[in-house]
Amino acid sequence: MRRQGYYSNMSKYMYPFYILLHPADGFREMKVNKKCSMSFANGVLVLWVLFGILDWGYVDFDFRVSYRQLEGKVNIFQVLLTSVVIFAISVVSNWCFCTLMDGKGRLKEIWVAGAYAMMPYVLLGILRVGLTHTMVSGEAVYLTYLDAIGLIWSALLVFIGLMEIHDYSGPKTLVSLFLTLCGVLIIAFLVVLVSGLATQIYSFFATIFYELKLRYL
Amino acid sequence: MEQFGKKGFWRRGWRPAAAALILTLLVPARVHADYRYDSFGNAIPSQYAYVAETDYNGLQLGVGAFNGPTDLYVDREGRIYIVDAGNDRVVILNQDYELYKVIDSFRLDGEAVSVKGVTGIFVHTDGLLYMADKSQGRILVADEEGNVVRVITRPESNLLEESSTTTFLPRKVLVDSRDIVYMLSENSTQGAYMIDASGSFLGFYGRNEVQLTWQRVYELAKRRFASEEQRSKMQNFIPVEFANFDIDREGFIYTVTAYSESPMEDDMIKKLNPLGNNIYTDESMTWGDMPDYSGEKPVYNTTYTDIAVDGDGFAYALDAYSGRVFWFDNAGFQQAIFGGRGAYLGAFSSPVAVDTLNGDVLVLDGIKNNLTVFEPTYFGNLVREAYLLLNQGFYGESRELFEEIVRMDANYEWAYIGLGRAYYEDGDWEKAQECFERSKVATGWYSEVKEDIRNQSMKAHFTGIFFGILAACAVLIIASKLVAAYLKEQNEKAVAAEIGGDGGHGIEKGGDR
Repeated sequence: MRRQGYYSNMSKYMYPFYILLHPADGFREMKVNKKCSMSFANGVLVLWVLFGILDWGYVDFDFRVSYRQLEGKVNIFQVLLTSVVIFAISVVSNWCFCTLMDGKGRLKEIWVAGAYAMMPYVLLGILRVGLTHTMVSGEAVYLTYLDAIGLIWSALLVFIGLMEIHDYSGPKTLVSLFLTLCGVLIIAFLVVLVSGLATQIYSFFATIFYELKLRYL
Repeated sequence: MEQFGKKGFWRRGWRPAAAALILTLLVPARVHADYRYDSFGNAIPSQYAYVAETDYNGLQLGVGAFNGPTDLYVDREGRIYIVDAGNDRVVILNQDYELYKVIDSFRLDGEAVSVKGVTGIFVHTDGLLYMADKSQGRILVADEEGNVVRVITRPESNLLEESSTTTFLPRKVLVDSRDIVYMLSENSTQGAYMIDASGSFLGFYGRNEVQLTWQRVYELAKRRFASEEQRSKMQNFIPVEFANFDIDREGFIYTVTAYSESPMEDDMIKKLNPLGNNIYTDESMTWGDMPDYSGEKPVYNTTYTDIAVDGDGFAYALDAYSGRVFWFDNAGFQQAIFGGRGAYLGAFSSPVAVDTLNGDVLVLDGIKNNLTVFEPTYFGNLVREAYLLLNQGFYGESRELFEEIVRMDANYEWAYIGLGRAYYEDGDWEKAQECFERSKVATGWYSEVKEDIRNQSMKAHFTGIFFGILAACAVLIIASKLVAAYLKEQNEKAVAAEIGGDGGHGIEKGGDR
């Protein structure tokens, strides 16, 4: 049934901000009214990558704690791997398991809900990186709070979002999240396996090629 | 041709060859390199800060060869006291490294007293020699003529229980300005004994703590489930005793510990205040060598055996295993590591004691039986001068020296901190920030400068910032009201349209729920 809520005619670019504060209603309306915006979700993912880069290389000197931050050389592949790639794998893994567990969510909906749910973490994270340039190390505790708030907020959104998208109960969502984690590990294992095999196959053919080249050319 | 060549060599060629040979022998080979740890814990080569210039053995001094010397002390007049235990004597040199006196025999009430078991010596400001005689379990106090004027034995006190951790086997001794004798006893883990001028026991001073590691937690958990018999066979957790100590001009006592599982982080060197609390608590301070785990066990662990503090507050700690001297500035930060293990000048077989004299560092070797003198190089003197000027408040003067240090050794992180502090005090905050950032460790200093810059710009642009925030708030409030009104209007329109027009449209569309 189409919901006649106060915000039901909100444009789909305003929706994510409504979801931030009203996750249960918001995600349900997003699914029912088909207000998924793929472009907005991908915009959040781009911001996530940007946040990864900023957090690595552009934190002010007195807030650099890790070796890689002090070294200051941003590795873009590592940033991608720890943000967008892991996100995509998680979404696929969640879709795989939830389809088997009577989940109502479709791949696109999981993708969009996941991206919307990451908004607090990403936006507060970018805000934190900006604030390091004005705050001093004595005030570091506030930035830690900011980080923690972003993480907890995002975690809650992920949980509620998946619950609404798949029409699950709370415990079932927890089980599906655990299975998703296992799925991510399995996919990572398969990726490593396949890439290792591919390297060996490549080197096998490369060896044959060089052998022939040395003999006949 | 061959004949000629041979002849040529024997006629003329031997002169440059011999000259080259002699030159090679004369120029001391620098087979070791001074180094220092950077903020990532990597050992990086540094400029030579101290270089071994000469060494003196007993024959050179005209007193016959030393035989297993055990300790060295330099008093405030610059006299060098060497306990030559194997020869049962104390040799005293003046500050030009010439023989001043040899005390061949010590007498107590007319009877001869042996100093063969003496392992530690201290000379008080009144000229009395305090010698820790481990083999006899007593401290001998003697004058320069060899008359023992006082013997300190185990004091009777309610505070001092008989136990395995309160032995009275004096290894090292020192006396503070209140004539209180501090003594380190073999196997005693309670800290230093404090004994006053009348010979009564005042208590223990300072002690190491047992570090709580995961392995110890596991051991403790295991102990809970063990039977009494098993428990008696388990090892006890006893803090490591102090290996040695020294007292500076202000009465602070510096201690070294011989063993640590993580020599970089653990407080192997402590500066104790009169209450016995460690005041070297900065986490960025590093102490011993980084263990080199090429196998399962570290190749060696730093084994501090002695520490010396000079009049300017610089500390020198001696690692008996590697023969290296660790140099710390007057705030406790590691500046350079020099020395080594070997037979050449500036390396040691069994270094037993270190002390300082007019900026030189003296190291006594118990197997090579000699006294090695390290003199500061141009670079070492620069570092000393720069720190002294900085701590006395001569920022402009110290800045020039730090700039010279950085020019000579661009990896010198501590020098960047000094340079940054000098700029900071001069009011050049931008440059100060740059220097602190280059040092890679001075985050605290960097933050302080940043706070000053922030406060200054807040003061300068207060009106702008204040009204800017007000305006931003106003704009946000108005915008949100407008958006809310617009949405409400849109919603009402849509609801009206749905009720009026096709009311069933929504039901068909939202059918998948």
